[in-house]
Amino acid sequence: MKYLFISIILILGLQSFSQNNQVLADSAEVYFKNAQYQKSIEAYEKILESGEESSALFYNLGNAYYKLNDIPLAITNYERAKRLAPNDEDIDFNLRLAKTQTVDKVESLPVFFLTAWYNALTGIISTNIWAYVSVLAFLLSLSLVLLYLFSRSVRLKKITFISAAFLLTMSLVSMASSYNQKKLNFDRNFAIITNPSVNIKSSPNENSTSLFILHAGTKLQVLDQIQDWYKVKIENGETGWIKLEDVEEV
Amino acid sequence: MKRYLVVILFLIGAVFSQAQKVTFEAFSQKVVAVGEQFRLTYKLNNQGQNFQAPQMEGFRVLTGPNLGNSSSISIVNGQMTKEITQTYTYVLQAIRAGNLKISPAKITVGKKIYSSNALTIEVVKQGAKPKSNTQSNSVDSKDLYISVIPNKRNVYLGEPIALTLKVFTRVDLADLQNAEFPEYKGFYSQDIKTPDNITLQRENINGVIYNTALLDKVLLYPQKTGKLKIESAKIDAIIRKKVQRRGRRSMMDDFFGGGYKQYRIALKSNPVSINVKALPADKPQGFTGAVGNFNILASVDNTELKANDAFTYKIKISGSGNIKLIKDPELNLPHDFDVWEPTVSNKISNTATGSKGSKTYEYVIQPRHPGNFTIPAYAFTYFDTKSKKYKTINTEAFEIQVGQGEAAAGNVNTIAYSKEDVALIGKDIRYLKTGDLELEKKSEPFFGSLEYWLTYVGGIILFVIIFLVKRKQIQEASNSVLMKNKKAKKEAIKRMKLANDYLKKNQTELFYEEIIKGLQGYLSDKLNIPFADLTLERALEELQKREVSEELRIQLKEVVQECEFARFAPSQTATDLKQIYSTSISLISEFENKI
Repeated sequence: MKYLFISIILILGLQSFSQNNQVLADSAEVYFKNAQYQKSIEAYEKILESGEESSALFYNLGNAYYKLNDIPLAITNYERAKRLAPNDEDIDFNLRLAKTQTVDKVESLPVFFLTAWYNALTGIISTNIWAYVSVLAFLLSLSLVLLYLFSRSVRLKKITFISAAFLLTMSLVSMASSYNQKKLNFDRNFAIITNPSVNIKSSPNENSTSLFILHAGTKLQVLDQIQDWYKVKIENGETGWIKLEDVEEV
Repeated sequence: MKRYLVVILFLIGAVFSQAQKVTFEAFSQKVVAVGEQFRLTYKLNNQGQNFQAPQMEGFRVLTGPNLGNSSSISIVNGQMTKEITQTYTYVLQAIRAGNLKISPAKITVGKKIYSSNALTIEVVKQGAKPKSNTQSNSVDSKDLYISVIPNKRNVYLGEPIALTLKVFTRVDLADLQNAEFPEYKGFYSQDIKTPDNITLQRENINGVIYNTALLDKVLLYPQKTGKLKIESAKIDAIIRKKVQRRGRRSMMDDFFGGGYKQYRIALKSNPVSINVKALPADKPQGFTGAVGNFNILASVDNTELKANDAFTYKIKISGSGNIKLIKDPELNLPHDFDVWEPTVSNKISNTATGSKGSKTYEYVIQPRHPGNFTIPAYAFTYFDTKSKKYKTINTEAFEIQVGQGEAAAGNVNTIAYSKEDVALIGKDIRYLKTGDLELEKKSEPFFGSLEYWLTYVGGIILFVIIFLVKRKQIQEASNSVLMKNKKAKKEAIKRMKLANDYLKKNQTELFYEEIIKGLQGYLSDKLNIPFADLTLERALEELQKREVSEELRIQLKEVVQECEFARFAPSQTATDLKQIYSTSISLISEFENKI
């Protein structure tokens, strides 16, 4: 009985929490409309603090930062939004626009066209949805296999066999897609440079040789970390070391 | 009239002279021989009184002090300047050898007492007089020679050597001509300023007084190691010699100098070799060949500025040594800085101890982007000739704070847009996503999570469980059929026996009932038809399916119908009953074989 009470309270509490977030989101929107971008950012950040997130939230936060001309953080938040919604046109557009304001024009390495197609195709829906589809298809195909095994009617056996095979294939394809999307968006850690200009060092040491210089807003792939240094790779394939404080992780 | 004028002028002069700085100096030969007469002169540029001569120990005063006055007046553009010189002259003779001191003399000008400088006079014992071979134009090489004198013969690479070219003479030198100085191969040379006019100085060389003429002074910086040879210097000396005529010698000859003849003598110095040592091998990184003793100072004119604003960074290296040959510093400036070629200004004077002065590098630097930058300390390494060790001195490091530049547009100009980006210039971002933001608890991707794989495993486990359960059920079901099948005959025979008992007791009604139950039960078990559903038609159908012959089926039908009929109309005889009984038994055994 006691537990029931507690859980009811918890559920109610959570609900009020979400409601609170919706209020925050609405107020942030109003602030944005009135060009009070700093306040808008604060409201959105508060929602994030509650542990909830969505691609739309990051997108809006990115917009607010963009309006404040904080391009690095705008890009960071657009990238976060893109991670949750890989094929959103608005996010892509604003991200592209924000990137025109950055200094570095790093040429990305060419991607094999089949890989690009594959990535685009799997990007139609997010990794989570692919994962759900794969699980559902798998479970369905299992039940069909059961039907097939225990049915006496030859026609039913035919139908169940074909659909089970189809569903199993679908499950595998979805699994691969989910994996690919996860690999693209989650397994690789990205970071955006926030410091106006940074020397990329040859080793995790202040006194080591500066390899090249990068500026705020450039996207880096984080490969490794040693103390307060990240080993990073820029899009043209070059690697180096950068201080933690100079970047914001996506 | 004239006399008055002079007096007035003197008075005016006295007034003027108050304003002029008073100098009171002593002059004399620096080197004299014992017994030689020489002059000691005190010069005052003013009217003085009460001259107090110093003690002159070791000297005999032959005459003096003799007072001499001279004055000159010049009027330039109405400005009158007057120069007065008062001299006190002694003629002295040195009595004993040694470094003899003459302490300062004193004089009163106006109400002040001025002291002259002290003098040290080197008195040497006069050696042999130069051999005056008047007959020839040759001179003993000890009496007239040219010498190249380095101040050091053992130096490190890059350490300066002061080289002095001098002519030493004990004969009457009239002129020096056609000087030919050596080439300083392997050295970087710098002239040291020497007086334009060659004046003879007296010098004591190993107790012999020479007149020396300083020809040149150079500063040499060795550029390579090993024994470096400085070739001979050459010069033609013109000397005068008294002509000793045979016979009568006119007094007039001496008086007019007619008794002299000039000779030209070619002089050549001995080559000098300098041993240049290599610098110690433990050269620190960043050593670029500076040798001497240096100081370094760096400065910036601004540490807080905006992007694209320029500031100056200065490095000043001062000291003595081969300062002119110092290489431009290699600065490790932040990459983001645009640095112009430095302007270098030298303030260097060459002295006998090496070049002295400073070299200043002035860099104009323009940071391109905002941020906090560090101009690192510049380490200057040189070889210290005193301690014979490498020394590294560092400048201060500077923190430069660069703020956002004036206009963001200025920044944008430096950006090169790619083709597809051009279309985006001037466009604004798309508006917020409004309404429900579809917030979700932050979570890791579902794929690859424990739940994900558990769903698969759970599905498979469920599948296996369902499969096994179902299969067992089917198995069990088929087992019960088998059992029933096996039990069917037993059961039927039991009933048949019972029927037989009823037959014996002549209870016909019960007999029929048992026969029917027996057959029904048997067929129900055998054909796996639930008892309730069993009808004769269905049973016959099933039997047909199982390919039981028509004969048997008709038999079964007859028996069942007969029994049904007889139950309600029990009129049959005992033989009929026996007939039914045996047919039933045979039917069961027939079925047993067939099914």
